[in-house]
Amino acid sequence: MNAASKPTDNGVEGSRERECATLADTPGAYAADQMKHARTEKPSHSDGPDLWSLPAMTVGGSLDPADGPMGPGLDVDRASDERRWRAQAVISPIEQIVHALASVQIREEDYDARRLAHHVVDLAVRSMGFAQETTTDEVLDELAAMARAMRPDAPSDEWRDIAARVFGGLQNVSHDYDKFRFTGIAADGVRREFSFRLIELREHGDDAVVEATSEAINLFVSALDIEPSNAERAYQALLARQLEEGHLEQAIRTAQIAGRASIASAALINDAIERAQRDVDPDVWVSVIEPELNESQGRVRSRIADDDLIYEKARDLTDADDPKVRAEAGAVGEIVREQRRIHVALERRLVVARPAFLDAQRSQRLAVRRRLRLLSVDTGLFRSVIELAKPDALAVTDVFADQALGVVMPHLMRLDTLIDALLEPVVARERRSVDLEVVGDVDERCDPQRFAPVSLAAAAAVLATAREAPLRLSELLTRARSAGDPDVIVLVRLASLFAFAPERSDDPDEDETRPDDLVAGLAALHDGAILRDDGYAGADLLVGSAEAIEALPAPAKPERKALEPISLAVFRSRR
Amino acid sequence: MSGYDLPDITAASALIRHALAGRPLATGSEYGELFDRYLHHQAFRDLVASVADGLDLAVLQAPPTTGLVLSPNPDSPFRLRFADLRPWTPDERLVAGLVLLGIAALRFPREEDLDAEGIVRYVTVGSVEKFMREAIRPLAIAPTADAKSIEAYARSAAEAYERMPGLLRTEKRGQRKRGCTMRVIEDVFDLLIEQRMARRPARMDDDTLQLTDRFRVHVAEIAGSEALAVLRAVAAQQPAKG
Repeated sequence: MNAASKPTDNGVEGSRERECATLADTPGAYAADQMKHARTEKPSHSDGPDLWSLPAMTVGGSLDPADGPMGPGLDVDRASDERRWRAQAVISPIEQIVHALASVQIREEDYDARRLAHHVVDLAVRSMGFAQETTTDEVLDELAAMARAMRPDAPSDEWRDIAARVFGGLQNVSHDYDKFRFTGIAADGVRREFSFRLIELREHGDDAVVEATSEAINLFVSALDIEPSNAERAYQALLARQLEEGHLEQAIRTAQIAGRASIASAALINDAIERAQRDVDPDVWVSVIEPELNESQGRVRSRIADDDLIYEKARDLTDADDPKVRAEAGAVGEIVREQRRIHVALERRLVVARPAFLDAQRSQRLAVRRRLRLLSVDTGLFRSVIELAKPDALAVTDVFADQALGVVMPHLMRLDTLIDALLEPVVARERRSVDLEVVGDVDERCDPQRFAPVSLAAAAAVLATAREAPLRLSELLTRARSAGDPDVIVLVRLASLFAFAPERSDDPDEDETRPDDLVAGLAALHDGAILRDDGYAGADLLVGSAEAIEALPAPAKPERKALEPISLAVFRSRR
Repeated sequence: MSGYDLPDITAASALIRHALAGRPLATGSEYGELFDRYLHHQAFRDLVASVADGLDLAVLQAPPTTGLVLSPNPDSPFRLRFADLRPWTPDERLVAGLVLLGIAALRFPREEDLDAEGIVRYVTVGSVEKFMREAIRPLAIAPTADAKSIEAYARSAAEAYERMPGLLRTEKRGQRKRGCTMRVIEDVFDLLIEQRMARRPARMDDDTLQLTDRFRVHVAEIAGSEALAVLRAVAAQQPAKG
């Protein structure tokens, strides 16, 4: 960027009509432009192309016909690039103030000139519109107070000096209060001048009041991170002025954008209320949330008053002779009325925010704080519980089961509705005929769920040796391994287990499950021997024919070590 | 805003929680104390009714020996669903509905029976089966004006009952098998036990059931049913049983 703030007289307002199209992509930029448009007489001349006058395609790719005839617009990428350039240029005067202070030995570490400059813009924007406007003296006092806060030990003359320098810098006092001027050189080599003011003074009785220019509002609204509530106020100020000056078409668009700003502002306030309910720390409430909500309440009330005022202005215009004016004023009135509805609803929310906080705080106080702990079921529950006497163990396991199962909702029978439902005939639905796919004969050898016949035969051969004389499971597994087929090992093991504990159906309607041919006539006995096997653990069962196993002497019951009952309190103390 | 404070609401909710869990009333227990408060304080009764209403529940009665008897409204999340019942066939469903009516008629044959609190009433699978076989004939010929009334449905249920054999047994264990009315009666007994409307009395065989006062309260709710009236007329001719 080739920046220069040299004062010249070549005004560039000649193409203001087209500024809307250039800026319409962003609500803030559009509003800034409209603000300027509302305040400035249409110029009679143009001294060549500048950045604002460049017609640019809007994001949607169309140009606003209300902005007048235009030449070929920039494509979206170029327009976006130019806007970014302008955003950079708009803050340049503030950077110039910082450098100017440095040249007179005022150090950046002592005073934050950027913040002071922003504050001037904020003051100007916030005071525009309906309430009492900010005079130059008030601005200087505010800035001096801020400067004092930045460096309390400095002499008071210094604070006032800083305030005057910053305020003067924003008015381009070093160039005789002329506009700031910058020249941009585009990628195609075309040079375009961009000139603007940030602060303007207007006579107000015996005093001068400060006004923000379109660029300042642009700075305020879109070029920097701004608070939507302030943007909302800026739009309302702009809207009022447009109505006063009869720019109704623009007023409609401004009202629409102001409506969006209202929604954004409402969203922020709602968020603050939500936070109040979520974070119910009384300290946070007192120090942060309550002041925030109080401030919001004041702002929203002020917005409602502004809405009323704008609505009145729009309504006055509905009496105009020109039907177009009447229609446009009516449209503005409708939008403002909707805006007011949002503000009134918001105010109501703010009023109940305090009771909402109290309720949330109360419910938090009632809730029992629970500590989340990871539990190892094996060591933390099973092993511990097994040492306890039954009543103590039940006290633990019952609580664990209740918590682990979660909420179980009881389902209650209501005799009348149940009888009605049971007796009501079931509606028979006609079955739709479905063309079933013909699969053909299934090759059992390909069924992955079945053991291969060769494995079954090998396992049967191994188990047949046990039928001759009872054998240990360990011996059967060894013989199965010699077959070289892992399935044979699995089958022998499963058959042995089945022989030890045949599965029976719990359904009384079904007969007992018939054992497979593999284990027919087999039985197994656990005589206390332990299986020593690389693949399996457990009992080393004696497997043989049912008769042979039956004939074996019953194994002596292993002597169980009696568990010493301990109380729950003792158990806890051990842990 | 009424004069309730948060502890009152907590207490009302706790009373409903105990009632939903079907816990027995015990002197000195939280449930017992809350129920005592319910019986003696009108304001607390109103509060409990309101909380129950919010949960889509209705307080049917509060017999002093039973506690709060709640009933779910038709759309309540606490209502019993078909998925909670046995997987009955359509005929078994009809028979089950009729059996519920039959048990009610058999043990509460007169209006005054519905007001008699705390009386022990037993019922057995055999007695219900016998009663139903006697009752289905009058039920099948009972006049009904509306084909979609519960009475008309009871008639078709009676036909289903008549079609179904009384007893089928499994071959191995000799238990009652699906597809017979006595097995359905057994299932209905289990349902009544789950719902705490009945219990298995100690030192009696598994076929005997003791109806609780909760069942009496629910039967009182269906006292106006024509189908029940027909069954009760049959039951009234039988000798009274405990």
